[in-house]
Amino acid sequence: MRLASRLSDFAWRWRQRLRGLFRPSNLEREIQDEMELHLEMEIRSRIEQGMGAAEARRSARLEFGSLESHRAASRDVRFGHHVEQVIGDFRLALRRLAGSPGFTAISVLTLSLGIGAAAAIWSLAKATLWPDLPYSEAEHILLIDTRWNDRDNGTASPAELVDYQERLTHVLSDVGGWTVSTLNLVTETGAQKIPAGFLSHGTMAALGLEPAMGRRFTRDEDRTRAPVALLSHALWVEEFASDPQVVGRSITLDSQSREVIGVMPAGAELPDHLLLGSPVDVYVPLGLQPESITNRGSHFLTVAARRRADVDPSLVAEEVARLGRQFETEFPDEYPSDMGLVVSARPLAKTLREPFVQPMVVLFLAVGFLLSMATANVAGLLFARGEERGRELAMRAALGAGRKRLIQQMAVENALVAMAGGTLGALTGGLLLRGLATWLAQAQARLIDPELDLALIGGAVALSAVCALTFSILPLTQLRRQLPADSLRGTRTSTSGVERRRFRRLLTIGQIAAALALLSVAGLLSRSFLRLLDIDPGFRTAGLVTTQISLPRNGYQEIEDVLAFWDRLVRDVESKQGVESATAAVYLVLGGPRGDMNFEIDGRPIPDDKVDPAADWQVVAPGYFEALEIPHIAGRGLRHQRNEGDHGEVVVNQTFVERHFPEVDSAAEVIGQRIHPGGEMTQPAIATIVGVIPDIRHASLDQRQRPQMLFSHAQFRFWSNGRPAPSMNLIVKSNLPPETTRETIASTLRKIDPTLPMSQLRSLDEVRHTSILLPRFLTSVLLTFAGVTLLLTVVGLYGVVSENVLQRLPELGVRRALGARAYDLARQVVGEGIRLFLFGIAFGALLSFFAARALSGLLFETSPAEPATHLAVVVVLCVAVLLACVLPAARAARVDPARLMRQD
Amino acid sequence: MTESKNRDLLQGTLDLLILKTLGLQPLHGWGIARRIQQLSSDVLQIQQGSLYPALYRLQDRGLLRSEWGQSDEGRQVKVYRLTEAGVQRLADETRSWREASAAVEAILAAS
Repeated sequence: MRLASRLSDFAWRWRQRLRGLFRPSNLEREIQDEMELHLEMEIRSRIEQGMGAAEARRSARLEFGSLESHRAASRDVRFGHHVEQVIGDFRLALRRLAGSPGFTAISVLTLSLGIGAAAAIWSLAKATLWPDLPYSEAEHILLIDTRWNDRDNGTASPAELVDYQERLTHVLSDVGGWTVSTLNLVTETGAQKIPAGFLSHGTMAALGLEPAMGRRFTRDEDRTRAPVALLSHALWVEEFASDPQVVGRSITLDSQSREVIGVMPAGAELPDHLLLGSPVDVYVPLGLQPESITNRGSHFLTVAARRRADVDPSLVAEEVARLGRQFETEFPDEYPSDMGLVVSARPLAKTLREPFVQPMVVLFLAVGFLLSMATANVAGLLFARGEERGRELAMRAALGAGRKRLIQQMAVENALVAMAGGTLGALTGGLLLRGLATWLAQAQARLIDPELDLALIGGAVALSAVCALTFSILPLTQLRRQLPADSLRGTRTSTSGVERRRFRRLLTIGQIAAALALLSVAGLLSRSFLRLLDIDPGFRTAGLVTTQISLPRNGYQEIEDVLAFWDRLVRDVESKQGVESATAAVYLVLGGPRGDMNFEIDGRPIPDDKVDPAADWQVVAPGYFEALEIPHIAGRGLRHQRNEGDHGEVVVNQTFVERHFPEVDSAAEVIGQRIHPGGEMTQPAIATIVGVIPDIRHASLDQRQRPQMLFSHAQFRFWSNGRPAPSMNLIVKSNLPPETTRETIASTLRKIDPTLPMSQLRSLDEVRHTSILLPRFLTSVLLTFAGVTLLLTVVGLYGVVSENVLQRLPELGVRRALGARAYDLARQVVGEGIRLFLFGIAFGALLSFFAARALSGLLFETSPAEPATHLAVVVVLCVAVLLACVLPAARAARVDPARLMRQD
Repeated sequence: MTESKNRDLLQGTLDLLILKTLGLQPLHGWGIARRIQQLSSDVLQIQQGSLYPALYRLQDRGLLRSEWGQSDEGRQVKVYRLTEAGVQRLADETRSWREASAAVEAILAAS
């Protein structure tokens, strides 16, 4: 019963509220009726008490007071009233914003640019600096890094891996090593090259990877090199149509049949290819053989380890480093003391993050400047608007508008601007991200998900909320100080005005400083990038295309088969119409740093406690120097004669000569010198230096020059343990369109061996372009940011200077009337801009100094202090400042005293 | 600021008086004012200017509800009565008013 009446009360109350909201006129009438009735009753009661009718009416009315204001008071206590008020504020705000479309558009666009850029860079930073690692308890994973002087990729040899596995069990629960190569997968649809991970036992346990289906391979399967394979999720979906029965099927990899024992979950990946490079598609046992387990000479394994959960990380680091020092005492022959061997355990996440930290710091700084600049500009605009509206607000305050109401109205207006900026910013951010992702994908950087994520939108909304709050509160603190009377009198020298202008000036100085820093950074990066572009790599790239072809072990078991295949392929392709020449090389140019090889110079034995000298190496087929147009400084090219004996040929580069034959005056003198490739460890092979080439930028455009040795593919004995390289890059020079070239190569290949796949055909120009994609990316982003920042600075400065002119119009008018020349007035205005500029430059110089410091590692042959760049930046900024002052100065110069007089 | 505190106090008191009057019987606006005046022996005069906003406020808070009905003279009048929540509130407010006034009385009685 009670409940029923409570429910009915509740329903009635809300019916009333809604009626008040949607049918306000009904409600008004009701209040009116009720009050009139009240008055009537009061009059009647007074008459009943003996008052005259007229007197009763008069006194009752008098006592009742203003019917209108009572009615208003009754109306205002209603619930609907607050809603109406807010709706009204929104309407008012929209009307106001629509009334000044320039202000609205500039504020919203500025904000959205700042927020969008910040959101995009934030997503990029999140993906690179805090990547989602697909490993369980990733904080326990370490990479064991084995490096020494002159060799910095940290990979381990098989014997070292076994030591890490067996001698660190007290601190590490699992240790595994792997290397990534390619395998040819043959299916009904044809053959294709797929990236393959060769994993030792323990790798998956160390990384905490668990197959989604099936199982990992066992220790025995690793040891016996069992014919098993695990598929990546992507390969399982694409090539095996997500077949749930795939486990147990057999597949053909490099002409060898292997049993599929499992499928990895989506996202599972080896850490060294997590962010850059193509993902591994198939995992097979590494299968270290007993004879290679004693090998401490060839380093190719990336080693990951999982530390025991109860062991302190610092103890692990200590133990790993100690094992490294033990290597030196136990194997003094392999690790001479001047080699500088350092073995260290590095947390996985930290190692992955490392290459991105510096570029991200630079990007973060840049976008931080951009965002603060955008915010400062909008704040400046709002101040200017506040000044304009000072009179209006004061008037409304004088007419009885409560301060709370005025604050509410301003807040609503600013919130609208901020929210619009935020929404547009999220959109801009999404577009930017998509652009960045496409761009980075060209460099095989799988860094970011181009989809807008919730965090991004949340971040944008949070940012705009902060902006809205800031913009509402800042101008209102000014309002509070402002006395209505002052504003109404239009006293322009009121304290609040001076403070406001001081604040805006400070903002502008900050903007100029930030713009200077950003421009310097962008300038230095561009300079460095232009130098990279300008570099002559030392070989031809135009008109050359390349594709990689790998020979499986089965079917190409014999050395003869491999050599015959390459001979025939190069010759056949070369004979096709439109093909100028064809050649092949083991390492593609500009493919990044690669392994080096020890050697000894004949007649100069290296003492046991010294390290053998080492040089980068390359193996080429006939025609390589000609196709790439690499000249000889001295001697000749390789003859490519099959040589069953111990003698062969080698071509070296200029740096090789300078470093290892410092006594010779000209390169020609080293022709005929002999070296032992591979050092003392290998056979008594001897290669005679037959030619010297100039230093070419072989590994990358920005590489430091290193000694290089080039061998003939036919003379494999000098650079391999008895087998020619099964995988080489075919390089073809042709004037055919790329598609035709591709078809020509493909059909030639099919004729020789239909089971062999070729990788994507790329032009060497494209390879060159891709090799500097990341610096290009960083430079373009920073240039864009710097451009936007410059624009914002000009807008901000223009605002300050022109506001200043507006306020001083009366003064300027008086001075004009008293005989000042237009030129003097304009000069004064420009002087104001220049003053701000000079202050800005002073702070900006300080900022750029630190910003340039942060850059140093990213610059190529460019000093962070390069005067030309900094000077150019100052000049650009100076021109921009003058531009910003021109219009206001012209206005000051045109001031017409007579018109001003009439106005006031 | 002191002024507005004062008003709050008076408002709270007026709310209590209205609730009490309607707790005795449903009434129309003029009746409420009249009744308070009578009950207080003409000491408390309710200004119409505060009565109606108070009535609408109490309605909006769900303590009162109103219906158009017939007066004794057969006229259309709006009659207010307490809701369940209003009854509850009247009891609470009465108790706390008594406590407060007793406390104030005790202080005033101190010598």
